[in-house]
Amino acid sequence: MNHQLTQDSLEKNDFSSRTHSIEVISYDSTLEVPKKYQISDRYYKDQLVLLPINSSKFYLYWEFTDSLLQKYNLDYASQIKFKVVNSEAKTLKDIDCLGEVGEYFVNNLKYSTNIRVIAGYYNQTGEFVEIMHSNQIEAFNTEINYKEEDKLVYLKKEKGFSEIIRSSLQSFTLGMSSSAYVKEIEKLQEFSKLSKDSLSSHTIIGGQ
Amino acid sequence: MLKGYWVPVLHSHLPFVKHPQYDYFLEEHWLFEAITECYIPLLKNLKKLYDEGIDFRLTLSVTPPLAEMLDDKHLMDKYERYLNRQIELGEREKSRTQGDIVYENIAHFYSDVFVETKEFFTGFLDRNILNGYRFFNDLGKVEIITCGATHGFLPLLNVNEKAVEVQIEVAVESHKKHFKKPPKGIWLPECAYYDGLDRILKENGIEFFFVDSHSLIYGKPTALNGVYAPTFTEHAVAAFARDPHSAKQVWSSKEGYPGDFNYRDFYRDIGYDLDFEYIKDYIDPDGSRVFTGYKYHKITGDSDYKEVYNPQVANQITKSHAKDFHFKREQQFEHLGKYVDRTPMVVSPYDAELFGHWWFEGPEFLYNLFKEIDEHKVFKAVTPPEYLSMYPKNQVVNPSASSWGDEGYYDVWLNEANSWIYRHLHNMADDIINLANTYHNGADFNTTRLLNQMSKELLLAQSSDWAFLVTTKTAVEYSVLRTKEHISNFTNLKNMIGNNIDFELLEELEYKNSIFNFIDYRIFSS
Repeated sequence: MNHQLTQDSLEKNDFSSRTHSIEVISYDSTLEVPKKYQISDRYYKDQLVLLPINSSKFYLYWEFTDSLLQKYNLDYASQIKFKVVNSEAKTLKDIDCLGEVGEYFVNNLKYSTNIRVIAGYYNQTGEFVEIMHSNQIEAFNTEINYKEEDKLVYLKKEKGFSEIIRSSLQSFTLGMSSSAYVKEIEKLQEFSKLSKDSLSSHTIIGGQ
Repeated sequence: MLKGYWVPVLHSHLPFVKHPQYDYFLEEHWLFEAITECYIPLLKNLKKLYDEGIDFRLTLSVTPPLAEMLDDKHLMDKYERYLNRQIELGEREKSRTQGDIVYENIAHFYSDVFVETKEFFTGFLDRNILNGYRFFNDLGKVEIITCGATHGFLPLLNVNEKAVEVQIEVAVESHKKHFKKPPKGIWLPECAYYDGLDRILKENGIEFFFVDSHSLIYGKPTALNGVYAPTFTEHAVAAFARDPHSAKQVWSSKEGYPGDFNYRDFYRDIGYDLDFEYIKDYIDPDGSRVFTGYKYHKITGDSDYKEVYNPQVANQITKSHAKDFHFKREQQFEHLGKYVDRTPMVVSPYDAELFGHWWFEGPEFLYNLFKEIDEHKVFKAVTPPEYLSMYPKNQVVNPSASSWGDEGYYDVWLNEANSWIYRHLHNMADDIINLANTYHNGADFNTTRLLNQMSKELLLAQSSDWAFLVTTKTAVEYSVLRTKEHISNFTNLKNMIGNNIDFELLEELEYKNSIFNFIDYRIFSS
C-alpha cells in the first residue's frame, strides 16, 4: 500500500464527512496485527476500480502487473496517467500514477453525469493511448426532479408541493444515524482515554 | 376519522462476534448489554401491552448476524453466566448501600431489573430472544424484516454484483431459518441504496425497504408526496422514506428526549466509580474497567456534575415525552393532511439500541407511546405491508443513491482511514465466484468444506461495521484485526484447495466463525 500516495491525495475540502469534529485519519496499516494475519495488497491482476463517496468525492484503486507494462512497452507504472472522464467523454481531471499498486481520493470534483477513469499513457506523438478503464459510477442526484408529464400535477399542488418538500427536508440533517451516535462515541472515546489514564469519572467530577 | 398512519421501525444489529476460546471477551459484551438493555426490555414492554389488551404495531429488523448470535448456544450460555454475575453484583450493591438513603433505592432497582431480566429470559423467552420476536410476529403485531447478510455496505460491494446478490440471498435464507418464513421487507444496511438494487431485492421476494428522506426527494422524479407516502421503484419494490421531524425528536442530542436531564447518565457507572478491589470480579479480568450497567446518576446538565438518578421520576418523564411525541405527530398529520393526496404516513426508524442502551428509559417511552396511540386513536401505528394493502397504488420513483449515514452518502464507510478494506473485499468476491463456477458441479467433501468456510469468511469481512468503527475510532484495533483475520483466513483456505489441508485450522474456523451453517458456496456461482 502506497501510504505516501494516500497522504498526498488527501485534500481538505469543505464538503467532507467531518462532522461533529471527527478527525479522519489516514490509516496506518502498520498497526500491529498477528503475523498470521499479515495480508498482501497485491493480487497480481490488472484492475482499476472506481468507487463513489459523495457528489464531489470518489475513490480509485489500481494494480498493474508487469505483463501489462511489458505489453505496452512501459518501463515504469509512473508513465501511466489516469483521466477522469464523464459520459460525454470530457476529461474532468488528470491524475498521475505513482506506482503499480495504489489508491487515490479525488476531492472537490463535482460530477453530475456518470464518470469513469481511463488509464493510459502518452505515446511519442503525444497521443493518449488507453490501457484499461475502470467501472463506471453514477452521479449522485442532489436536485429535485420534475417529470414533464407531471408538470400539471405539480402546478395544481402549487403551494402544497412546496410544503411537502419543505416538510420532508425541514430539520433534515443528512445522516442522523451514525452521526447521532458520533457525539456519544466521542464522549466515550474521551471517557475511555481518561479512564486508561487512571482517572475515574469520580475523580473527574471532584468526588461528587 | 384517522388523521394519519405511523410506521415505527427499529433496526437491531450487532456484528457477529464469537470467541469460544475465551471465557470472557469484551466485544461479546456488546451482545450481552444489548440483550439486557434493549431487546429484553422491549419485548417485556410489548408483552405488557399485549397482556393489557393495547394494540400496537412495530416493524423490527433483526439482522442475520444478530439472529445467528441470539440462536447460538455457546453465546447464550455465556449470556446466562453474565446475567448471574450481574445479579450477584446486585446483591453486593444492596449490601454496600444498605442504610444509604440516597443510593439504596437505586441499588434495589437495578438488582430487581437484572433478576426480572433473567426470569423473562429463562421463562417467557425460554432462553432464546428470537422466541419473543417470533411470538409477536406470529400475532401480526410485529413485522420482522431482514437486513444484508452481514450488514455489508451494498453500494461499495457492487463492483461485483454477485457479492450484493449473495448478501441478499443469504439474508433471506437466514431469515427463513430463524423465522420460518421469508421476509417481506429489508432494512438495507445503513439505508444505503444505489440505482438498480431494487432488481436484486425483487428477485429475492422483497416487497419493501427503507431509505433516508433525500433519497425520495432527489429521486427521479421527486416523490409527489415527499416522504409521506411510499413510492414504488421500477421493479415494483416499495420504498419508505424516513420522516426527519419524528427522527429529530428522538435523535437530536440537543432537542431530543434522551437528553432530558432527569434521564439516566450513561457514563457514571460503578465499573469506573467504585474501588478496584470491590469491582474487579465484575469487570474485565485483565483489570480494565468496563461498564457494569449499574449507573446511579442522572444526566443533570451539560457539565460533569451529576446528581443521583431517580428511576420513578424518570419513568414519569417518559409518560410526558410520550404524550408530547403523540401530540406532535397529531399536529404533523393535521398539517400534512392539507397537502398529501391521501391519509399521510410518517415513517420513524431508529436504531433499536438507542432504546435502552444509550437511552435507558427508551423502552418505557415506547410502551407509553403505544398506550397514548391506543387511547386517543387519532392516528394508527401500522406496518408497511398493512399500509401497502390499504394503498396498493403508489407513484413510481427511482430513489437516489444515498444512505442515512453522516452526510447522507458513503463518506463514513469509505474514507482515508478505511479505504484499504475494499480492494480485498472485491478480490475475495472475484476469487470465490471463480471457484464456485469451477466447482459448480460439486466438489469432494473437504474441498466443499474449504469453499463453504471461504464463503463465510468473505461475508464476515464484508461487514460494514468494521469500516464504521474505524471511522469513528472506536474499537479500531478490533475492527482492523477482524477484517484482516477474515481476509487472511480466506486466503489460507484458498491456498489449501488442491493442496495439503490444515485440518486443525479449518476445524478451528468452522467452530469459531460458525455463522450461516446452511451456506453452500455455489450461491456464488454466476
